[in-house]
Amino acid sequence: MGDEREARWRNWMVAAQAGETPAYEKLLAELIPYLRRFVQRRLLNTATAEDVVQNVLISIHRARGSYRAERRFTPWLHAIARNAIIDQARQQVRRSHREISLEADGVAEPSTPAVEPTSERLSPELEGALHALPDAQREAVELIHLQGYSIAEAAERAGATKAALKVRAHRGYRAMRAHIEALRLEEGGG
Amino acid sequence: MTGRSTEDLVQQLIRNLPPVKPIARLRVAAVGVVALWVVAVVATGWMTGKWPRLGEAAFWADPITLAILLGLGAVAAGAVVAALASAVPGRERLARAGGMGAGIAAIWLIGCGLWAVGGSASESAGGLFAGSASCLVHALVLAIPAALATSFYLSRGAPQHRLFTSGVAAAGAAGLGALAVHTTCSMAGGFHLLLGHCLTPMIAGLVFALPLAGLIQRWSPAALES
Repeated sequence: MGDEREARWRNWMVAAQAGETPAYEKLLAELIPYLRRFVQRRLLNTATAEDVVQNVLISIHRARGSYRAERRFTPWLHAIARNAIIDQARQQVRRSHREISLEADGVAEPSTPAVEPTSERLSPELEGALHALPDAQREAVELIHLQGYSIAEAAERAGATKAALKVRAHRGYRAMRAHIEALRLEEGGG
Repeated sequence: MTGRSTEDLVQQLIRNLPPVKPIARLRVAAVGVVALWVVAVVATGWMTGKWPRLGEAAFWADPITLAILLGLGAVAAGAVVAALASAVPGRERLARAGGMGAGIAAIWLIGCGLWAVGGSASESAGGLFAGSASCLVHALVLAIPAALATSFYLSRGAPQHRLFTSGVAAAGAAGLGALAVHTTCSMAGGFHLLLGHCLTPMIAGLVFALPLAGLIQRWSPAALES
């Protein structure tokens, strides 16, 4: 079973390297559930698992030239997935450090809105990414980032706790970044 | 959760899928790096008249010279293997082994350099600096083709720890350069051996890690397309 799957994935990847879209589509479609399980088993915060899976898929796409057909496919895949998980963990640590330092400095708690709503100043790329967000995340990003409300004020306006609002905003930023990266990838043709 | 589903992302990725050439085998890349180094050694020997003294009995009679030769060879081999392997997902074990080998060899080299310093007569500061700088520069010049070849390979791969990869690539290439210089240089001072020969890979690894990382990034197919 494992060997069969290994051979199938290897053949699809080799075909994908040659530019065969159907093989690549089949490969990615089979990898998604496999990667979901792989990532969820290794993440402490499973809420971010789908983001990591998407990052792994983007990494696979970028690194597909680094696979050689005579080597097994799964160790190559696992290495890429592990690296994406480590990147995610590092980002989370950096983000929490930044939050702590901002809160300690009082930067995240301004008493008045820093700027007026300015969505018309966004680039079309950012605007598109913002509009692609689910309502709750878009509201969080707009309140904190565009309208300059403090976390406490934004949470009050959104009717959520501070922690929940922060999580929504962070997910929103990440989704926007992924959206823009995918757009650029698409424009660059790979 | 992101604003876009994973299935949507797949659709974006499969659109406009350009063919890519699989990365070369590690063995082939390593042979290519060494071949370019040999060409550089022969070319500079032909231009400067400095050839390896491997045929001289005095070269093989000095234990410090041999210990440094061994250390430089091990640093070069370990670091080049670590750099090349770190560009290929799934070859992390080989990259770690190469990196550890290079690290142990670097400690060995520092020990050899200190041994040479301890066992040699005092040297004049001016002559020491000139001689050491000359060997260092010579080694770095000899390292250029190997460094460029390694960087090209790395740009085709997917290195995860970019600074580690570029640092060991620089150290490996400089180790090859220093190895050639060590066999051609006839200066015997202890400080000269330490500064001009033993420390060359470490200095190159520290100084050139960042520029080489930039070069690898610049040569990557994604950067060339944009």
